[in-house]
Amino acid sequence: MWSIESCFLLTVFFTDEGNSTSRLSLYIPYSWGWSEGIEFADGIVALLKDLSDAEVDYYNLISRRYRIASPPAVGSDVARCGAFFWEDATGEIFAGFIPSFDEGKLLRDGITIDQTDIDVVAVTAAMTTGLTLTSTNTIQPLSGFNSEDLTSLIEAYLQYRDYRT
Amino acid sequence: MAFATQDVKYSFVVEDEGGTTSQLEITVPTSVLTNPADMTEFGDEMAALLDALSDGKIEKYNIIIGRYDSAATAASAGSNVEKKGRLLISNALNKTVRLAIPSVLDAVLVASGSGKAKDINTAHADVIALIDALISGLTMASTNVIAPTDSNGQDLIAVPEAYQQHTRSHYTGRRRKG
Repeated sequence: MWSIESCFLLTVFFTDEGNSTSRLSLYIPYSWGWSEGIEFADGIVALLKDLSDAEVDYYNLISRRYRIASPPAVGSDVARCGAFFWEDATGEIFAGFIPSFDEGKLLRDGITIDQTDIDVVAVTAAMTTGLTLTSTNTIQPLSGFNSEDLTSLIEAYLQYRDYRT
Repeated sequence: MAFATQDVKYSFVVEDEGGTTSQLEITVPTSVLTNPADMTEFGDEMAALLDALSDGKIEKYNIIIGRYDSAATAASAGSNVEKKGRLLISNALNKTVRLAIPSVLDAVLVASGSGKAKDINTAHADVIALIDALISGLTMASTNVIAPTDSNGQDLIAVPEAYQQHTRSHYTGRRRKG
């Protein structure tokens, strides 16, 4: 069961003449919702800009959700990723990496992800055709900077990456 | 200044047996904002799908709205994000919350009584406006008044101290759009 934290986190980015960046964070009660949360953020960022000679061209507003989950499995390792390569509507390839990929989803070669596995099929469908929600709206993920629909899964295999936070 | 939402991202945090975490990001269309209930439902469902492919623990995820101003004023000559305007803010439980404004304007600084770091001039109109917004909130188009809080949701009550402080900026990475 997922719960939501009580506050949005507003993070404002400041960049100076030398292109160094610093950030400022504030909290806004989540109860106001996204629309007014954004309106407030625009307003407070305007006031902050009046007090700084740095460039302020970007901020983000973050809602954080959490739950109590089962502990990670013995042998889990976030460097062991499932590397998925998706093609978007412009033919560009977009890579996504699932950390601590379950090795039970691999073919016998121990490298290739089994694209017929029911859970792999479910993720592929969600990424390429979207998820239809209670509202009947369908939300489909986009490729990174291209912001294009993902159309198909090209390739998927196990890859170790130094991709830790 | 005109900020616009350019992306909506989900960042799923995966933790392994050793306690190390990694994140998986998924971008979705900004149209998801039109129905906030969709936003959490999509995240919850996607987390379940990813959970089935990972033996790590997915205990939290973030929904991140990125807003950009393509016509923002460039940084001024001499600007320096390590020169901060530090506000010490007391909350409803009389604890202190710190806020630091990077590259604070010289125009809002005044000599301090101690002869060391400069103080922020709390009589300056722009400083008054910010403190008022932090403590009393901003009035929205709906006439609702929204005031920020501390990380625990406690109201901010007063700004007893405000001064200039140089602090190293530890944040080196930056994602730019376009």
